[in-house]
Amino acid sequence: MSDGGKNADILLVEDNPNDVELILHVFQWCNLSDKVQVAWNGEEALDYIFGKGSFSGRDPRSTPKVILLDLKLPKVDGLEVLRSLRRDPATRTIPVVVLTSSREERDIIESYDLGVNSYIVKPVQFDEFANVIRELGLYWKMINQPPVNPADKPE
Amino acid sequence: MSTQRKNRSFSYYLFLSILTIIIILVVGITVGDYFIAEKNFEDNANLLKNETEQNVRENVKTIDNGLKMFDNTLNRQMGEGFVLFHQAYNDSGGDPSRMDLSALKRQLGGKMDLYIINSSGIVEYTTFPPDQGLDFKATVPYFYDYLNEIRVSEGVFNDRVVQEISTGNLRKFAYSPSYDHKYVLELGLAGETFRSQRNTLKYTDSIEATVSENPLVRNFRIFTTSKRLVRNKSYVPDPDLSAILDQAFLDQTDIVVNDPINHTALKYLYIDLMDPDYGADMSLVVELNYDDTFITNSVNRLVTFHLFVAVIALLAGLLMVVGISRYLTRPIQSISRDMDVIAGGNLDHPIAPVLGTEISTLGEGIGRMVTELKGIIVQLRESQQNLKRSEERYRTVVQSQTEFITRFLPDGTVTFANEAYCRNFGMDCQTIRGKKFKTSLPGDDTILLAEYFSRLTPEHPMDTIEHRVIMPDGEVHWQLWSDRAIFDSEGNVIEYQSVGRDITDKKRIEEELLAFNEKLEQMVSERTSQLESANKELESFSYSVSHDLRSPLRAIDGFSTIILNEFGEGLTPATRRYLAKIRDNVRQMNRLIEDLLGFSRASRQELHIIEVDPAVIARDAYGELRQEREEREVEFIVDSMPPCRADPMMLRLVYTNLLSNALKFTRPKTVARIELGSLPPETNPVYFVRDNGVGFDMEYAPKIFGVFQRLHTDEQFEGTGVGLAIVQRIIQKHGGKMWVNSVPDKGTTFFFTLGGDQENE
Repeated sequence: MSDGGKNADILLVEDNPNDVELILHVFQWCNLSDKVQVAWNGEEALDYIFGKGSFSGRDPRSTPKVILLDLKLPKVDGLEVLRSLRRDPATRTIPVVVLTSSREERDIIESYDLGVNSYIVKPVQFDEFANVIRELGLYWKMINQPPVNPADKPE
Repeated sequence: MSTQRKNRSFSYYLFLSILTIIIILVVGITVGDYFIAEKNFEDNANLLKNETEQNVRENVKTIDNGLKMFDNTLNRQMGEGFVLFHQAYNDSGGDPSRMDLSALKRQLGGKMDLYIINSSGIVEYTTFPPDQGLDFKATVPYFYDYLNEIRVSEGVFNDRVVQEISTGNLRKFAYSPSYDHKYVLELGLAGETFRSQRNTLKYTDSIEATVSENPLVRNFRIFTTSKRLVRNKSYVPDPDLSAILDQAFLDQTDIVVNDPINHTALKYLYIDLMDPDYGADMSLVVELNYDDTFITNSVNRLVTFHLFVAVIALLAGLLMVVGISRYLTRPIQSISRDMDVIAGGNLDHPIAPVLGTEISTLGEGIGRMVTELKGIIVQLRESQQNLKRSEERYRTVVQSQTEFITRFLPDGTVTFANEAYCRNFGMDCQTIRGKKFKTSLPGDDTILLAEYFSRLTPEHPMDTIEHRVIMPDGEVHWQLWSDRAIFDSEGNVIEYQSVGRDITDKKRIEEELLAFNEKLEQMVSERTSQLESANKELESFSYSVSHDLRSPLRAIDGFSTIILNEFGEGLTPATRRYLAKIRDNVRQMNRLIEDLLGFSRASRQELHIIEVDPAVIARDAYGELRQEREEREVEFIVDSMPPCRADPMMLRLVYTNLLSNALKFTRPKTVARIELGSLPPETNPVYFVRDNGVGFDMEYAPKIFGVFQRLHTDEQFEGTGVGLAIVQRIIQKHGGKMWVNSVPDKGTTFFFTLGGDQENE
C-alpha cells in the first residue's frame, strides 16, 4: 500500500481491514477515496506524517486536512500517535478525529486532554456508520477551513 | 508535738482576768495623771518666768526714764561751760595747741574736764590724762559715727550720766562742734554727788523686788553695754559670758543657756534703752539665774504620791477579786461535783440547786441531758444487737459467695477471707487471718499488679484488673479482681478490700476468638485482593468486549448491507430475507453488548455522593424518555420526596430504567399511570415507582433482578434483561435495598432505599 510521495487529504489510521474496506467503500460513494492514505498502525502513521521509514522522501510539510485515528492499534497505539503529533510544533495543528469502538470514559478524557478535535464512536449498524463516515469526510475535506501550515505559506 | 496546756480551775482564770484588768486600769490612770501634772507644773513655771521677765523689763525702763530726767537737770550748767570753751577755741584761731585747757578747767570751776576730739575720733587734747589719745573709732564705733554727725552740725548735744570708758566712774558728758567744724569739743562733768543722788533710783533694787516674788530665780546680775556689772566697775566677764553679752547687745535679743544636768538655766534679758537724742547707749542685759530643781522636786513628790495610791488600789482590787471569784465559782463547783458522781455511772444522782439563774439553768440543762442520755443508752443497746444480727447475716452472705472476698493490710497481712477465697488458694480459713499471704504470680504480672495497686488514690480508690495466678497445684489460672483501697484522713492506705473470680475459661474462649478473628481478617484480605484482581480482569474484559466484539458485528452488518444495496437485484427474495435477518441479529447482539457494558460500568464506577432531590432527578429522567411515550396517554405523578444522599448520575440511571420499564409494560393500557413517591421514615425513606402495567406473578419476583433474566418474549416486550440488574447493582452500591410487589394485569411497584447516609460500595 506504500506509495511514497503521495500527499493525501485524509489519513486513515486503522488496523482492522474490514473497517478500512467499509470506510473506503463509503468514501468511494462520495468521491473522496482518491485523496485517502491508509496507515495500518501507529508507527506507519507517524512515518507518513514525518516522512520517515517507508515514507522517507515524502515532504512532511504537506500535511493531511484530517487524520482519522483508531485508538486500539498494534505497535504504537492511537493515543501515543496523538501525543507525538501534538508535541511537534509542525504537526500540532493538524485536525485529528478519533474514530473508535471504545466508549470508555478514560479514553474520551485522555483523548480530549491530548487535544483531539473530535471523538466519534463507530456505530455498529452500517447505515449509521456510513452516514458518520460520509459526513466526516465531507466536513473535514470540504467544509472545514484547515489550519495554515507555516510551510505552505508563500514566501 | 506540743505539750498539753495544764488545765486550771475556773476561779483561777476569773481571778487572773479581773486582776489583769485592775492592773491595766491603775497603771493607766497613774501614768496619765503623772504626765498631766508634770505638764501643768512646767506650764505654770514658764508663765511665772514670762511674768517676771516682763516686770523686770518694765521696771528697768521706768527707772531709766527717771535717770534721764535727773541727767537733764545738768544741761544748763554744761551749756554755760561751752560758751567759754568755744570762746577760748575761737581766740586760739582754731588751733587747740595754743589753748590752755587747764586754765579753762579752773575757770569753769574745776569740776569739768575738757576734751578736743579730731575728725578721726581721737582725743587730741584733754585735761583728763587717762583719756589722752583715746580712739573712739576703734573702741566705740557707733559713738564715732555719732561724733562725726555732731562735728558737721551746730549747737550743744547733751549726753546721759554714764560710766567712763577708762575708769568706770560716773560722768555727765556734752558735745559741741567747733565753729570751723574741724573738732568736736567735749565737756565731762564729774560729781561726787552723782552716785548718792542716783542711788534713790536703782535698777538693782527694783529688779530685786520683782525677782523675789519668783521662787524659780536664784539670783540675777545686770550688765551695761560696756559689759560691766552695775555697781561693780572692776568686774571683767570671762570670755564665754563676754561672747554671750556681745551677741545679746549686737542682735538686741534674749539668750537662754540651759544646764540640764543641774536643772538650771541662765536667761539673758536684753532691755533696749537706746535713745536717739543721746550719744550713749544705755541698754542693759539682765542675767536671770533660774533654778528648775524646784519643778523636778515637785514632780518627784507627785510620783511618790501616785505610786502610793496605785499600790493601795491594787491591794484593794486583789481582795475584791478573791471575793468575787470565790462567790462565782462556788455553784459551778457544786454542779461539777454532782457531774462527777453522774459520770461515775450513777445516772440517777440529782443536781443540787444552786444560787444564780444562769448557773441553775445550767444545772437543769444537765439534768435533762442526763435523762436523754439514759434513753439513748437504751436505744444504743438495741441497735448494737441489731448490728450484731445484721453482721451475722452479712457474714453468712459473704461466706457463701462464690466470689473470692478478702481484706488485707498493705504489708499483706490478711484481716479477712471468705470460704471461697480460702478454698481457691487451698488454705484453712481459721488460721489464715492475721497472717501474711501473697499469691504467687508469673514474673510479668507481679510488676503489673504492683503498678496497679500504686495507682489507687483517695480520688480513685477502686479499679479492676485481670492477671494470672499460679495455683497451689502449679497450674496457671486467670483471675479478675476488683480492689478497693481504704485510706486514712492523711491519704495513707490502711487496708485493701478485694473481690475476685476465676476467668480462666472465659480467657481461653477470648483467646480462641481472637485467633479466629485474626484468621478471618487474613482470609478477608486475601479475598479482597482476589476480588481486586478479578475486578481488573473484568475491566479489561469489558474493554475488549466494547472494542473487539463489536468490530466483527460492524463488518457483518456492513457487508450484508453492501450486498443488499448494491447486488440486491441479483438475489432471490429468500437470500434478501436471510440477509435482513443477519442484520436484525447484529442489532440484537449489539444491544446486548451495550447493556452488558452498562451493567459492568454501573458495577465498577465510583460513587460521587452529594445531597440530591430525587423528584428533580426522576422528572429529568422521564423527560429523556420522550420517544417511548409518543402518541400515548400517560399520567405521570411525582410526590414531593425528602432529599437523599446519592450519586446523581447513578440515581438518574435508576429512574431511567424503572420509568422505561414502567412505560414499556403499560403499553397495552389505554391510559398509563406512573406514580413516584416515598414512604417514611424521613431519615431513610423508601422510594417507590408504581405503574398500572401488565404486572407479573410474584412467583418470578426473585428472578427479575438477574442479568439477562426476562419474563416476556421479544415479540411481547423487547429488551435484554439487564436494566433491573443495573438498577439493583446501583442501589446495592448505595448501601440500599430493592424489592418489588406486583399483581398481574394490575401493575407493579418497585421499592428501594438508599441506605441512609452510608457510602457503602
